[in-house]
Amino acid sequence: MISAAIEDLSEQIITCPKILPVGKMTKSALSDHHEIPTLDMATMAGIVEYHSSEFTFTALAGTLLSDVEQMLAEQGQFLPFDPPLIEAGATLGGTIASGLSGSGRYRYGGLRDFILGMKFLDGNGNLVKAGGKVVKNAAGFDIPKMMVGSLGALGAIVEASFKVFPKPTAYTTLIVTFPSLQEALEALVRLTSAPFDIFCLDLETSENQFQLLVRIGGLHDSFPERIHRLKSILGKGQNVIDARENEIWRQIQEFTWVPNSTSLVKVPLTPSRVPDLDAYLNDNQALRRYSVGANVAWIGWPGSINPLDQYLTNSGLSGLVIQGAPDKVRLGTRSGQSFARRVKQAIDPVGRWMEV
Amino acid sequence: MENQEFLSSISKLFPKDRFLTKPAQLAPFESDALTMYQVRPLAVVIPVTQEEVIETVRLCHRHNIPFVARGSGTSLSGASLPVEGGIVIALNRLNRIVRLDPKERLAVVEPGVINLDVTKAAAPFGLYFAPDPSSQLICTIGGNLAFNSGGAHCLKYGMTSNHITRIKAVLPDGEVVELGNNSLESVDPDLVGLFVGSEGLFGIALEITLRLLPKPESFRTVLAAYHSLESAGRAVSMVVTSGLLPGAIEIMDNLAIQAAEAAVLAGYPLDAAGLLIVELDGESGVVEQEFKALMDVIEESGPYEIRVAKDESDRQRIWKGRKSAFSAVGRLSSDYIVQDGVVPRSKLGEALVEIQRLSIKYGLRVANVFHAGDGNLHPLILFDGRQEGALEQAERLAGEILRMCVDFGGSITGEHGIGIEKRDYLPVMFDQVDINTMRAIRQNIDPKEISNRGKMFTIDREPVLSA
Repeated sequence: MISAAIEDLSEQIITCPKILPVGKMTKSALSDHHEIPTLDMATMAGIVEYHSSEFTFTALAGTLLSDVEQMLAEQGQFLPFDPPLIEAGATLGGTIASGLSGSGRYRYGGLRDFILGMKFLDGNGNLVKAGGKVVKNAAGFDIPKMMVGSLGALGAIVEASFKVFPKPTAYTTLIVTFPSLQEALEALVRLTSAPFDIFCLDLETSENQFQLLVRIGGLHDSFPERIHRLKSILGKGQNVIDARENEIWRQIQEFTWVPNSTSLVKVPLTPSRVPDLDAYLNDNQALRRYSVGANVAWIGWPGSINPLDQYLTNSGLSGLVIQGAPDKVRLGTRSGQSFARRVKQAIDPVGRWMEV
Repeated sequence: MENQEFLSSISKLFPKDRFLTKPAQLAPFESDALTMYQVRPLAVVIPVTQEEVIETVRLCHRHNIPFVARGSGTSLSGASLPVEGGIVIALNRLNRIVRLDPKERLAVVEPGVINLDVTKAAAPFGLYFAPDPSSQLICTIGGNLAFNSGGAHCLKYGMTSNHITRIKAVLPDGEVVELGNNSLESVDPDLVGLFVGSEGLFGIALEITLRLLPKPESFRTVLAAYHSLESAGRAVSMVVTSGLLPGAIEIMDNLAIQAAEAAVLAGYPLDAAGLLIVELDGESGVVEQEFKALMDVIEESGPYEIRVAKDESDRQRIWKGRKSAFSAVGRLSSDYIVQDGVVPRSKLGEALVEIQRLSIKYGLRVANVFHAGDGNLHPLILFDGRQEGALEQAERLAGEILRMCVDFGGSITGEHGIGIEKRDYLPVMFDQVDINTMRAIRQNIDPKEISNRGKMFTIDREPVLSA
C-alpha cells in the first residue's frame, strides 16, 4: 500500500516541471504557494516502527507530531528537541524540511542532532535511502542532516528515523525578572557556562521588561536544591510548577504569543548580537523572545517584512519567515550558497523542486 | 610532464623543510593506523597557513593531481592513505586556536588542532569539547570532522557532527566557502551536517567553529563484572530501559580486559567474562539520585562484583584502561583488524554469540570492546601477518561481522568511517540508487575527484587526466 502511494507521488513529480512538497501547512509562509503545484505528503502518515528499548522510531513524513509525541509518552520517552506547532498539526516531514526545533533544544541538541536516517523522493522521482535506523552510524554522506532546513528544495521526505530519549518525570521553571537587558544577558551567560542540567533557557523582552525562564527536569526530589542553587546565581525568582508550568512552555511551543496579524520570523544568532537586535525590534514594536540560550530569536513582526530584511542584511544576520505572507521568506544574508547550488544540481538536475 | 610541472610549481610555495619528496621523508606518510595498506605519495607538503592550503589545492586542481589531507594519521579505516601519484597535505602545523569565546561557548580552530587541546584550552572556563575518541591525545579536529569521530559518550552527547556549527573550507577546485554560522541554529539546509563525515571528498576544512559544553560537575563511574558476556549485554538493556541516560555505557570481554590490565593496570577484575562500565554525569544533586537508581538496576542484573570509582584518579584509571584497549591488544598480537559495525542494542547478545562462532570457525582470536550504549561493536580480530593468507582470513571474518550488522538492521560503521577499508561493503548497506545519489553530490563538488580519491567509493573509472 505504501509502495503504491510512493509510486503515485513519483508519477506526480515527473509530470510537474515545478513542484513543492507540503504537509499540513502549519508554516504558512513556507507552504502556501498557490501558483505552484503541491505534492501532498500529509497522506503519507503512520508509524513504521518504534523500538523504545533502542531509543529509535521510524515514521512516514505525514505523521502528525502529536501522534509521535503520544506514542513516545506512553513509553516515557520524548523528542528532546521540542518541535514546535504540535497542536497546530505539524507533521514530521514538514518539521524536518523547515528545520525547526523548540526551546528544549538547549539541553541535548536540535532536530539535526536526533535525525538518523530517511527516505526521500529526488527530482527524478527516485526513492533514495540515506543514513540508518540505529543511534550511531557513520556510513556514507549525512544526507539526512542536509535535508534539515531544505524547505522542500532538495526532495520530498517520505520517511524518517529518529533517536529519542527518556523524558524527565517532572519539570519546574524559575522565572527571574531583571531591570535591564544587559543584566538579563549577563545572567544568561553565567548560566550557559555553569554546570547545571538546564532544559530550556529563554529570554523574553519587551519595552521595559526583561525576564529569563529557566526550565529544569528530572526527579521531583532533586528540584528544591537545584532551584536554590539557580537562585543563588540569578537572585530572587518565581518558581512555577505543574500545570501552570506546562502551560507556559506549551504557549511558547505553539507560538500563541504571536498574533495572526504579524509574521513569525526565526533569526539564528549568539548572545552578543542580542542588544542591537533587541533595540531595533523594540523601536519597531515587534514582539520577540530569545530562545536556546539566545541562539535563536523568534520575532512577531508587524507590517511589511522588507525593513527587517534590510536590517538583517546590514547586520550580517539571516532570517526565515515561518508564518505570514509567502512572497519573501528568506531574509538577510545567506552562507554557503555556491556549495548549496552544487548539491541541488546533483540531486535535482532539472530543478523540479521549488525553492521558496 | 604534468607531475614535473606540478612539483616545480608547488616547490615554490614551500620552503625545503615543508616540501618533502625524498623516500625517507615520505615513509612516515605511507599509511595511517590501518597499517596493512601502504602507498608512497609523490610528495608531502606541510602548510602552516590557510592560504598555503588553498594555493596547494588550486595547483592540484590545475594539474589534475589528487591530494589527501592528513592530520595525525590515526584513522582505522585508511582515511589518510595516500593516492598513487598524488600528494599528502599534512595539516598538523595548521593548528591555531583562532578564538575561544567562553561567553558564546565556542572555539574557532584550525584543522591541525589536537582534540584534547581544545578541552585543555577551554578548561579554565569550566568548559570542554565533548567528542572523545580513544585517540584524543593525538588525533586532530580536521580528522574528527572528516570522519565524524565518535567516542565513549555518543549516546548522550552525539558525535563530532553534533558539536560543529560552522566550517570554512576550500573545495577541491580551490573555491573557498563558508558553511553554517556560530549559532547553534540555522535557517539554511544543514550543509555543515553534510560536510562533516564526508571523508575528505568535499575538500579541506580550514577553520572550524566548535561548540563547547560546561564540564559536568559530578561523575559516578561503576564497574560491574559478569560471568558471561551475554549477562553484561543484558545489563545494558536493563540500564537503558530504566529511564536513565548515562554519559557512557561500555563493555569489554575477557581478552580485552587482560590486555588493558597488562598495559595500564586499570584495576579491572581479571576473571570477568564481561565487564560493564557505566558512567553518569551531570549536576551533583541529579547524579546522586540517578546513581541510587543505577545501583539498583545493576545489582538486579546479576554481576558477581561491583566497583564504584572512589575518586577522580580512580575514574581516570578506569577510562585509561578502556581507551588504551586497542593498543593494548597489540601486546597480544602484532597484527589485528578493528571493526566498528553497529547493531540495535537489543541484538548485542546475539551479535556476541555470532562473533564467538565466527572466531571459532576461522580459528582466529577476537577481542571485544564496545560502546554498548549505542550498539557500536569494536571486535578486534587478531592474526599473524607472517602467515600466508592470514590477513585475508581476518578480512573475511571482518566482512562476515559487517554483513551480520546490516542483517540485524544496523550499520557497517559507527564512527571509523568507510575509508579504504569498507568500500566493498557500502553496497551491502545501500542500494545502487542511494550510492548514485551520494556519488552525484561528490561529482558536483569535485568533478575531477582529486580530493581523497578512492575513499568511501571504489573508483570504477579513473578520471581522465589531461596528457
